[in-house]
Amino acid sequence: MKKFFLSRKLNIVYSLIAVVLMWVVWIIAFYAVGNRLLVPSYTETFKEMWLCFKSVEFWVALGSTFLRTIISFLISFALAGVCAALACLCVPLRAALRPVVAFVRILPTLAIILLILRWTENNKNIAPVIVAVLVLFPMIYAQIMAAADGVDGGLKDFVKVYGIKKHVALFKIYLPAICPNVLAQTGANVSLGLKIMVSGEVLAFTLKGLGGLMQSANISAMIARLAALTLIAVAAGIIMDLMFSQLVRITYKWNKRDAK
Amino acid sequence: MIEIKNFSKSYGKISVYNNFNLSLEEGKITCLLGASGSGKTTLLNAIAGIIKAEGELPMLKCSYVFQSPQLVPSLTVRGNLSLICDDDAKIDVMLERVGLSDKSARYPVNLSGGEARRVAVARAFLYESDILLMDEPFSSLDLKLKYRMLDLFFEIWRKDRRTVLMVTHDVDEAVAAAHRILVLSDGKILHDFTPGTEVPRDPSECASVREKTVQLLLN
Repeated sequence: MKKFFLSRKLNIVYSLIAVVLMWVVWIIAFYAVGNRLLVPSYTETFKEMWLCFKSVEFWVALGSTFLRTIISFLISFALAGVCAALACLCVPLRAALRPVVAFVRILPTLAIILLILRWTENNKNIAPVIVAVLVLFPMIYAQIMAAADGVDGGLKDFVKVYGIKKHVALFKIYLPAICPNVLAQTGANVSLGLKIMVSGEVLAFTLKGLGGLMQSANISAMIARLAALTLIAVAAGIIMDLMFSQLVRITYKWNKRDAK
Repeated sequence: MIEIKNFSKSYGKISVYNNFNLSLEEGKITCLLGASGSGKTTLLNAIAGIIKAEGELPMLKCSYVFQSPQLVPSLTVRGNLSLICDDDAKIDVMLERVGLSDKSARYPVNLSGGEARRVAVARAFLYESDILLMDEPFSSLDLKLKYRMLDLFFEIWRKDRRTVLMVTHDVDEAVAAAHRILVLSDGKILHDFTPGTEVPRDPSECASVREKTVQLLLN
């Protein structure tokens, strides 16, 4: 009996049960609060969602948010990759980067977006990207460094004894050793990037973005529309997570497949 | 002669070696025999430059067969060998010798334990070094595979007669493989024993050498 309930085939059923439970909580909250301006009904919300899907403005906003998220992720990844590579090759640089990364990590997002808006002359497209980079960069850097520190000590000894050149060791040994761990977290990083991006767009009131549409709906007291956009953002995050989680398959052959 | 003079190494307050001296005859296989924790790997790592130590250690180009094969998982068998050798023809010859020509495109994860060891031995011989260091290279293999690996090792070794320093805690391995057997304990050589016969020894010779070595160990 226990074996049956622990079967992996039932995982999808458990996930569906969780979704249904969240829906039930929503319905209970709707009737308990009894105020459509605070908790909209799910029928209203899905109607608004349908209206969103029919509007060009929504698709432009969604595409822009996606694009900004990908750009901010790529900038963060490249920056973190370069910093981590330099930190691995030069120990003093690693020590020098430590306070810089810590400073960036604890920068208050809300305050920094206001400053960035001032510095960029109210450029509402750039500000959320910079905020997302400031959040993602220290996180990805920490992930890469943890993966680098986790490289088998025996491989490091091999590199030392056999006098493998630094660039060869970096590109042929260390980076491939780090990649599976780092790529495995890409999906989660990108979806977190989307979450930050939407927050940044809300704060910066970026009209060509999901966050801007949410802020606009909030100002107009269109709570059902706000809920619909929130659900769409969640779905978009899940889709991005799933899409980018597949990146880890690039390294599959090193772990599983026979590459004859 | 390769000379190690006044070699000292300690980990914190624990001294492993204190003014240790050792001479290795070139072109011969020397085996350091000792219990776990007797400092065998420390000596190899110091010679290889992996760890820092005090004393006069020769500046040698080393190849090293580690306890585990230490192959790069993202590179194929050929890729692993080409990391330390640019000559494809030499790699082909070595792959042929270790019987892995048909598995050169495989990744380490798809090799058996014995095959991975063969790649590690091939890599060590392919690298043009002054000395070959071997750290219990066959210890985790079953008896049959261990002797097959020893045969293979001698087949390759006979071609270039490189100086080898092998450490092990396995008497049989030392008896079968070494020109000279050193019994190590607490960073000191307790016995220095040269059986005098050519290696690899046949089973009848092994039996008498083994008996002498075990006697030395027990005493």
